[in-house]
Amino acid sequence: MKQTIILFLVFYVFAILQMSFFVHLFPNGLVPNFIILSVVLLSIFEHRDSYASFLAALFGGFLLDVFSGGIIGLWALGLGFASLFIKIVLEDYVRLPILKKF
Amino acid sequence: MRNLILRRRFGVLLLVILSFLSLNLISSQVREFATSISSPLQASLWQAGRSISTFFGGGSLRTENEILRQENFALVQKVISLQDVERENEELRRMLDLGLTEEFRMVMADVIGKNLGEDVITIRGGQNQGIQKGMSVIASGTIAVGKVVESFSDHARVQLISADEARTDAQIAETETTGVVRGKGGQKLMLDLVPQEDELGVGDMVVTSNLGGVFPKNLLIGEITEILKAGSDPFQKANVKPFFSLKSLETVFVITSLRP
Repeated sequence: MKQTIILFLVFYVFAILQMSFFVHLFPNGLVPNFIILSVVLLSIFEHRDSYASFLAALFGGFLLDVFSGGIIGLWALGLGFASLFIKIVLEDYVRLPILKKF
Repeated sequence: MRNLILRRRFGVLLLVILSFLSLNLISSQVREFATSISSPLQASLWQAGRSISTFFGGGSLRTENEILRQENFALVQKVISLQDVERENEELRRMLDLGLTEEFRMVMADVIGKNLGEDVITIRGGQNQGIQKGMSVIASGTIAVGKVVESFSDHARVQLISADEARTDAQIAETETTGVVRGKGGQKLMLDLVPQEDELGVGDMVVTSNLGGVFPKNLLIGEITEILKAGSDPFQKANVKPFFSLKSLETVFVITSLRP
């Protein structure tokens, strides 16, 4: 639970940074999307039984939806399904002994 | 047992989807809430980012460059206005009528957020400052920027003319050629619906026309960089480089009303 709340806070800060701070630092408008990156990394390294990455994906996606002006739920559900997809593929079809789950 | 777990998971997933979709019914309130609680932090980070960028990126040169750009736009605008006045004078002589240049009431607003992926900016200023949905937004140097798509109490969201769904009625500055400027996303524009018999040239200035009713006439949009002609198409198209620079857009003006 504590881990999920921290993740939510971090994602919120990422969303704000992406729209304000990073805009000035990255040239030509190519600002990396740290929320997508974090969701992918979390989904890869997360423990099989944990669903924190899925919840974080929904929350992160929701923030992207709210700040982007499109349909609410598009990013949230897209990232949520992407997170589930990565977990299913990694657990059922990929064997990487170097990946240490936390 | 396994079926029961699967069914329960499917139920939860369905509930999540429906919850998100139902939020669209109150999307305006959700966005206003999120923007209002985030704006202090967002404004501080915006200032911090700008300071750091100026410190590491040769601030004085950038400022000088920006001033020169503004002067250049002002001069281009003057030339276009003079050409327009000349043409108008000829018409007025014929019609023995008088015309007055339209002037506008404007509200200045700082840009506090940019969504580069969707060509949307957030400005500090909303309904309390008289900013309403549908109002046109320009940058200094009378450059067309976009229109207000959502207005909250103290903030507003502006869709740029380069956004995917954006359409702006336009004309070529030196001629009577009209067309529609379509946003292509990523701060790119395309001039479309120009009849094949009309002459287009690389370097032609594209300005707003007052056909669409959103922008006043003769605001600068961009410069034609490439003409795309297809024999079978009844209309010709052209790529247009916008005059506004999203990266250096710090302050905009919202036209709140026209006055005689």
